Amino acid sequence: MKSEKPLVEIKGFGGTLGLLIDHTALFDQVEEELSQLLKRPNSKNFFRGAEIFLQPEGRRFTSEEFSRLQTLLAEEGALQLMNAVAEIDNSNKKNNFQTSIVEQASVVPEEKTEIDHNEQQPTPSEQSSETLPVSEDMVEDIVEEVIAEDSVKEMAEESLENSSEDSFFLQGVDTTNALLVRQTLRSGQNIQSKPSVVMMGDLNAGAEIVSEGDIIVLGAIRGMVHAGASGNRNALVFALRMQPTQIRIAEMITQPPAEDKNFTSFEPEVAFIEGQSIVLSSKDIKNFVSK
Amino acid sequence: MGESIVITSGKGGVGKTTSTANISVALANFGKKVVAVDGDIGLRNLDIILGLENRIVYNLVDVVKKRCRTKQALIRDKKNENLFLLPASQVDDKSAVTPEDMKELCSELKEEFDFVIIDCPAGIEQGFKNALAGADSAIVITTPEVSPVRDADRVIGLLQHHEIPASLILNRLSVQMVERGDMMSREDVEDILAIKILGLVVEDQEIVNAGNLGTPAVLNQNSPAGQAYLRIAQRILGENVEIPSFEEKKGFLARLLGR
Repeated sequence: MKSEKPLVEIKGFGGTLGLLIDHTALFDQVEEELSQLLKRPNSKNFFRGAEIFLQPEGRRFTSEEFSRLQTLLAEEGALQLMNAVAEIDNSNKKNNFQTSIVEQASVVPEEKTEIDHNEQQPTPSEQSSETLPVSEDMVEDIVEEVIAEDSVKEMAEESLENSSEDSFFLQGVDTTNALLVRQTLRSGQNIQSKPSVVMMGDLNAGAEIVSEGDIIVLGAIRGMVHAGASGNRNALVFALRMQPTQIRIAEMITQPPAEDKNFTSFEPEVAFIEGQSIVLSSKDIKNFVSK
Repeated sequence: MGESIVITSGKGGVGKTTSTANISVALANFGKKVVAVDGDIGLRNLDIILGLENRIVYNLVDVVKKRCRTKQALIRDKKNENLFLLPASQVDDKSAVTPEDMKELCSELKEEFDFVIIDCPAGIEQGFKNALAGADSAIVITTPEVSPVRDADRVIGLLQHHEIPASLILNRLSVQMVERGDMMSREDVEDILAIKILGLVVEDQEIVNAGNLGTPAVLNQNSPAGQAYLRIAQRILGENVEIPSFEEKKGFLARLLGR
């Protein structure tokens, strides 16, 4: 039953390390292969302190399995497993990333986060020509390359530098890198990502995406999104159909206004911080993309 | 080798047990050998809906704990000799059984039966995991309301995680309410859940009566919900039976209720 493709791979994705695990792998196999991989001479020095992202196109893990992987990577590879599309069974969230966000969010003054849907609706004539100016540019930005083992060290060092420098992401959105997700994210599923997230599919109510960069959803957002989670106020959220339960950008939270029963048509919209509030607009998409 | 199907929903009270009973009876009426397994250990109901409560001697936990042979615990239906029930235990709880036990049990039952229909308990904890363990595919039940749809979405995500293919039954659809715009329509639910629809079941008083009497509505030709379950069973058997569109259904109902 041994396939030619390895079950467990460590790859470079743009500037970060990614952990890609075969769909068919049993958890025991994953653990064994991963620890074999980490036991290779010099592995530990290669990766020391680096962050590694569980790639969502690979196998999925329960939160229990995910934290076992986290422990394994920390102990044997000195790696920090950061980012996952993990099933959250209970309150078993090992990721302190999530907690810090919740703390941040709780200090947001509420009165400043009101948005008015109606005010932001353009007249039909204004919007007709600019339905989807985003897709091509964004897709080109997604760098996905397999790197030779020699350059793994380089990558790890680069990623180490990034993580030690707190202000890195505050300087602006990282455009060299994005996490590409091709699935429907359902209630209870979540993605936490340092790079921007580009998602093809719907984000259903009860699901979450948290990213330190932008969040672009080529589908409907019905759940919660948090862009610029480490404090980047320039981050934006884009969706073809914006029906979120909540949008957070940097330290601000907003919720859509009470539902208008007559409001049925949706158009692509972008959410960003303007002054002291998060605004939603379908007019400014072009401006934002070319910025 | 038979096929095992788990009937699940996440939310309670949306019609899992009723659907299990009706689908099992319908499949048996089409000549298939069917066993309905009550996975809701500690809160058994399937025996009541099937009208077999007073025949229970041994149960699923007895089988798993090897206190009896599997055959001894199976109860043959009063009306249909193709249909059997494996009842749940009322005195134990979900921890009495492990997913491995269920896997073993289901593969044993699949050798004997064409269909093993497993009634899953509400929730996504131990009982849910047990019910899933032995299943080849899943039928998710939801009603057209916001919270059952949300829970169905969660459950579909978990099923995908376990690589169990799922289809959807939209239960207790009220034609009048959808027309007034007070209830989610089939299209609304399909848009959110994005999985194959196996059937629509309209709201029907007969289901309540049938449940209390222990004679599933699928046997009643005058029950629109019962007829819907018959069509669902045909689709499970691979027949290409169209899902009646909304207007047709309205005409059907209107004729039936004299409106």
